[in-house]
Amino acid sequence: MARNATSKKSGRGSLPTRKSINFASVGEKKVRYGILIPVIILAVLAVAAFAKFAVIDRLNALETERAELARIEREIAEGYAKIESYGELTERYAHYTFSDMTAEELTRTDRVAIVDLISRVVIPEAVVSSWDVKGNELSLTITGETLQQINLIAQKIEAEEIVDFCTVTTAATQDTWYNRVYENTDNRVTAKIIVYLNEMTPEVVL
Amino acid sequence: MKILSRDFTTKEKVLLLILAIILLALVYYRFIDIPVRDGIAEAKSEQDMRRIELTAVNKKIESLEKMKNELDDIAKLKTVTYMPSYNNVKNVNRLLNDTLGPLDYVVTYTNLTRDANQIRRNVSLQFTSPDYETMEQVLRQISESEYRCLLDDLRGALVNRRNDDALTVNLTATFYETMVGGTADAGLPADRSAAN
Repeated sequence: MARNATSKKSGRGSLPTRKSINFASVGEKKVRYGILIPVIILAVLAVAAFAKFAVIDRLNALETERAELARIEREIAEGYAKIESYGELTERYAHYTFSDMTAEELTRTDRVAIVDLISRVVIPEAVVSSWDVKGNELSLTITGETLQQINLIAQKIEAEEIVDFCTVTTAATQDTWYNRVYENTDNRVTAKIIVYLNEMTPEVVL
Repeated sequence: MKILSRDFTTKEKVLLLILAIILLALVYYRFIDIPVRDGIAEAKSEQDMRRIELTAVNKKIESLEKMKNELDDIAKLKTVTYMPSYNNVKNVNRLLNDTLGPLDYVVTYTNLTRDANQIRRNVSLQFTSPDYETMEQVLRQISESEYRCLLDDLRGALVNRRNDDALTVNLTATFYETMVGGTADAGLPADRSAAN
């Protein structure tokens, strides 16, 4: 037990001596500030670190996740509003689109353009007795005055934009009818011309 | 105020300190850690679901943008053709009748096909035209009509009819319709794209 008194280590009969006569402090412990202050500082630091990393940072992380969720929800709402703004576009599109048509359909040479070609280029020069359009190929049977004239017609056909190339496959001064050959009395030339047509470039990029 | 008649011993103080720390840890775990952890997990899971929805919404917007651009391009074409809703056979009949009316003709509806929303009404036409101009006009009226139509095989020949030249023309054509806005009926064929 600590006392504010000291005793001499002398022999018998010696009495303890007291340096302080403040009796109020009798029994009180001496505060050791040299230890207490660092301990308090360490405790405050520990509490602050705990509050920072275990509470504030965690709550901030939660808030960040919730803010991210709110941002996504806002983007979705804006997206729906944009979709709404298109109105009946889908229905209109279904009536005008070319997207469901096949490549062959989109690139097929316009039949009216072929008829127009025959009308402009061939008919003024020769008699067109038959024609046949299948896919991108046109077969023409024409009768002209001379073979040279037939060749000229073939060249004119080939110069057309919708034509890839054309060839005269047969030319004769005879007419055939149901496998019977009749003599062509006026010496006119009947020829078969095959025309290979260019595929059309679709006007709409799909 | 002194609860005990004596001071705590060092051992007791240490034990009390440990007890207080445990108590604080429990309070932290129960009232901060668990709710925060659950909140973050819930927000993340909700975010994942919303992100899937957002992707779908963005895809839809992208497809609508594409549709809009395509419609803008179509509007610039020389001839804009319209695909009516199924079943447009009455209007096709009316169109063919108006076009071929004055001529001798045979119209055969060869077949009707369906690929998803796209309906193709294939028609075979045979008609006799007095001259080339009339034939050209007929073809033009059909292919440039308000209903989308593509002409396919075309065959013609000059024939001598009652001492007068005429043209016989055989033609196959396809009229296009859409199921969007259309009403299914007994004549509607099965969807070929669904079978594939």
